[in-house]
Amino acid sequence: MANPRFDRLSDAKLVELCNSGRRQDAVDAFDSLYRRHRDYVTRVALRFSSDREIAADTLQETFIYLLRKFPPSGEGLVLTAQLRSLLYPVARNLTLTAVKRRQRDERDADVEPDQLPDPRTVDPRYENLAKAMAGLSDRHREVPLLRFVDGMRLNEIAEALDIPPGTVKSRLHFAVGALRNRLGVE
Amino acid sequence: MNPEPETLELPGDIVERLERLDKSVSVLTPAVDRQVREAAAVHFAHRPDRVHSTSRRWAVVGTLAASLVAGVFLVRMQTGMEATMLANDIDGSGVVDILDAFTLARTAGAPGSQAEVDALIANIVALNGNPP
Repeated sequence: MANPRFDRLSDAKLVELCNSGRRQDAVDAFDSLYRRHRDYVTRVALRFSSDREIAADTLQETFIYLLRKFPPSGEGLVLTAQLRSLLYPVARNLTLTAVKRRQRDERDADVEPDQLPDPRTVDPRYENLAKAMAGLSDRHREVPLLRFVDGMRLNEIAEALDIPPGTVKSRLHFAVGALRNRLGVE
Repeated sequence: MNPEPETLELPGDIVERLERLDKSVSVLTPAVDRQVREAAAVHFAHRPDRVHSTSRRWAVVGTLAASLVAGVFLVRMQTGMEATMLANDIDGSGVVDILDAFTLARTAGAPGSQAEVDALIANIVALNGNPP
């Protein structure tokens, strides 16, 4: 069961416990990290796939990846930025890989795309915004989400995407301009 | 390309809608929750387990109590030995030795005094590390 005492600790402290804590402390600390960032990782997956099954698989694989960052002897992961900066590219790449695999399987099985369920139904209140976002490429759509929804700074986005900060700025500039234009905002 | 900072911002109402749009879908993942926790339990299984705080507290209390009892016992034993020794320090030299036995023997006259001298000699021999 979850240990509420650990929920009050910072990510850095929980990572420290995962690295060198005793057995139950390490398990509880990792569980707290998981529950704290579970929804975020799921949302990241849904940004790239809109498939709940892929999102659930991505969630599991992302945290198994994180778990392996804590070797048995201790002293593994060192947190130099937000944990989300580490989780984002892992979830993103796992999702994109799963999407490609799914598309390949569908081609091999000769499944028509419209036979597949569309798990994500957009709230009508956000339909215009959803369409405007959908009009952006993946690389341009993710930057405003990281900046405005995830609250990352430009250098954190650069680290998460493994691109130069200047590229982050230019993508953000393009995405903001496109969204303003499509939504009729001056 | 070096865009101006204001071109990197969206109006507040759009940001708010963007947040709601992004968070409008939730996926319940009880199976994944369980699997991740089980994976963590297996992964960290080699680590030594923590000592529960209550057990640790009682262990400390127990150790202190045992130390106290042992200390009291040692003090009482030492005090008793010193009392016995002082009672046998016939010549008042501060040390109970064979000279005290001789002094006791010289002053002895009453019946049973020989037995006291023998007992004193036996104690002196025992204190010097030899069994009486």
